[in-house]
Amino acid sequence: MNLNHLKWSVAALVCSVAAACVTINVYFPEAAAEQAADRFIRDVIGPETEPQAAVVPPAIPAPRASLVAALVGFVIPSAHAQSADIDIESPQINAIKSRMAERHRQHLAGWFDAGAIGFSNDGLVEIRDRSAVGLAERRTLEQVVAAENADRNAVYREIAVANGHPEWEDQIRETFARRWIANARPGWYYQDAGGRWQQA
Amino acid sequence: MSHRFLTVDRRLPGHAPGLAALAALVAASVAGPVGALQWTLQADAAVAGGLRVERLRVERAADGRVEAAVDGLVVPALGALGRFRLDCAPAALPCREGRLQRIDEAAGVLATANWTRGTEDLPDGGLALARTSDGWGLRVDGLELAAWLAAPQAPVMLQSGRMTGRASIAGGSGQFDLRIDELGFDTADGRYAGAGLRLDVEAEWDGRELEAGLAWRAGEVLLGPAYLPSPPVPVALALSVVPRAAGGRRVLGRLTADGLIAAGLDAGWDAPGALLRPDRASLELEIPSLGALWSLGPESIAAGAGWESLQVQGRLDGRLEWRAGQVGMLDVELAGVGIDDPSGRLSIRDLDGRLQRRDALDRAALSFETLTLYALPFGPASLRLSGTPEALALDEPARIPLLDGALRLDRLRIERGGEGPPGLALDAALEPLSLAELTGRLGWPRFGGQLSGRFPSVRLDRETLEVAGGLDLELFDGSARIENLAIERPFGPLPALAGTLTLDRLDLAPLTAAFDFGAMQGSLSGYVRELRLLDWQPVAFDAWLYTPRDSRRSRRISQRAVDQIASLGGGGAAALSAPLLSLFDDFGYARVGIGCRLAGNVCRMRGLEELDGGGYRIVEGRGLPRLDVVGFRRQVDWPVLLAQLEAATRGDGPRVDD
Repeated sequence: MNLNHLKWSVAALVCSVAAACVTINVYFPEAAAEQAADRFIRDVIGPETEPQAAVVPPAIPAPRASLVAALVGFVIPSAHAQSADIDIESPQINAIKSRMAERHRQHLAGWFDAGAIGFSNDGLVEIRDRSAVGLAERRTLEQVVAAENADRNAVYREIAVANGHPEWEDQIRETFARRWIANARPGWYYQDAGGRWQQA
Repeated sequence: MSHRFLTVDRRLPGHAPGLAALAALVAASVAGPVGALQWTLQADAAVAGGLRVERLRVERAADGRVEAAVDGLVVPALGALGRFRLDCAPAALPCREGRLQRIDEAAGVLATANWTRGTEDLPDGGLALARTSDGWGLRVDGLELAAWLAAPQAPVMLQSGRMTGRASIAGGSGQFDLRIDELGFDTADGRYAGAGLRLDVEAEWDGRELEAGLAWRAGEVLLGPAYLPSPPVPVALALSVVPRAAGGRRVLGRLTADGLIAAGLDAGWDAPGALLRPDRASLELEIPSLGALWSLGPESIAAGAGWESLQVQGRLDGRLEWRAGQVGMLDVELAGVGIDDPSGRLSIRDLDGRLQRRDALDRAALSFETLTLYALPFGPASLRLSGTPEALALDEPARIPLLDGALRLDRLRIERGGEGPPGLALDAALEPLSLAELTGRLGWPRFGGQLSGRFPSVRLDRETLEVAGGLDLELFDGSARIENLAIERPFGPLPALAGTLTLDRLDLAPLTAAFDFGAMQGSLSGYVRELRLLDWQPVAFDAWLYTPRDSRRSRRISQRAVDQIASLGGGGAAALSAPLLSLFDDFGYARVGIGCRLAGNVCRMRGLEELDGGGYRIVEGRGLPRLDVVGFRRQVDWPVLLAQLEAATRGDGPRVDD
């Protein structure tokens, strides 16, 4: 056994001892989070209009009430079972989502088209060219972007908390950051990992 | 080759001498020696106070035409303006008539003005120059600023604007009086912009003193986060600069807008120094109506921070003295301030406040009639604080009435040292207030009792308010405690509240009566842990409510309460058939326990114990007829459960019938 082997063996031993101490080992459900983020994002920015770019999102089976519960229940309709590992449906988050959709329709879509704003690499919206917006509208640019980002920050945090893992906030933010960019319309700007603006 | 070249190929001396040299060259070209001589003057890279010229050329051709051209003119802020050329008609030296043009290498002539001697009878868009007895006079009439001064990729891009007015220069003195209409500008980064601006600009100097004035009469401006719409009254800035011994100077400034603002500045420099670091300065500020001024900037800044459409009133007066590089004296007074947030988060009535600083000691006083946070009205109250510029502390405990109780601040310390938001240390207590009034305010079913609490520390950072200690409630002959309170984004888009609620032996008889939930006798204990409210609605908790075994109260449950509980458990049937049940008004019970863990909009139910067959026992009966309530549904839609609870407590809930 050479020295290198010994080193790896010790490392493996340390790892296994450490692993034994860790009792909770929950992995972030990346794929489910991406699908959930995609649904959220499409609800906000609307369906893709260009037919050639239209992609049907992978369908998640709609939760169904169990048969037993349906038979027993006659007062309260049955609850939805949770089939996805990440659930982002709640009346509060839905309310924010519709507010974001309205804001997108009213302001942000035009500003994305004009290149005034872009998707930042941390899941937010960032102003990249104020002069692309007329003065009359520019006065609201800052305010609307601030409101949008406050909503987004709240959504990322609350999705993590609602799924029982506040520590997932950063991963949810990263997932959303990627999916906003993936769902960007052609011509919209986004930041790459180095913070440089790119065009979708 | 009959031209004679005189090339100045060294860099002209900088700053004012450079400018003077440039002016001398231009003057020479205009008024220069008359003769048949053909000559060219050329200066490269003249630099004068940020002004740069690549080449200056004056050429007198054999036919007597004089052409003066400036190439590569760069003006600070306005950018590279390119080439300007003045053609003088033949036999017209000094240049009496001619043409001034701005030329772009690619686009050709951008602007042309007739160069006229004499300052009367100008055509539109004209420019006239006159030789006066001791200097020069200039007149412009509707000069298109963008054509003359706009450059692509300039830090400040002029988009529109017409200038009309006069200027005269004689020796070291001069004056100008200009009116600018429809000025539009934008900066490269888009942070600063203006549109439709109507400005009056004037200045007068005599080699020693300078008087200048700027009036903003109309048009909108964007200054970073502040948006200023067209002002309701003209906003005027007057400035005078008086030189002092040893290169020092005194600057007097006054900003006025009738009914909006009046500010005065008196600043002095003992020696030539940085513009923003005077040796001494005093500033006076008077805002007679915060409401009238609010729309001119503050409103847009507040809206950017999430406080849209605030209604503000009151007045502000302030005085500041700056000496030895710091604030020597400060006195700011707020009077009759009112704030109303249309979305109902905050409302303030009749707030008066004063902050004074003398010799690095601060004193602050604050009083208000009411301060309403969401539905909770605080006040009237007055607070006095004192300390240093780094830390302010409450002089004596303050009592802020809240309904029929009060919030008592025993200790309050605000630290402003360093970066980030001010630190806040607080020791507070809630003097008992009646639950009847509080619950009424919050739109809950009214019930009696008392609420009090003690908060030995409160931590506030950008997004989160964390409260150590807790609230004690005395209600329904029992007690309850709320702990681990934390509020995220208290005024933000989705306020979240976390906390823990513990219930200890509430008397079920008045409780069920208050909520109209049938009738039960006995005690109720339990907890709601990991509670999280979003937008003040529960989204997650782990709740367990039960009747403690050692209660001395009698244990009976009414027919209707059985129905309600049974329906919560998914309509799980009682052990007796409904017709038989209905013979009895109420039943004895040994114990009751029902739990719910809410997550993902679904309540996961549990009971006293698991039963064979998949049910869970909610009510364990006692005596005869013995009645057990068994739940079968494990997962209940929270909104449905909520609607059902609401219906139940209104007294028209669903009944078990057949």
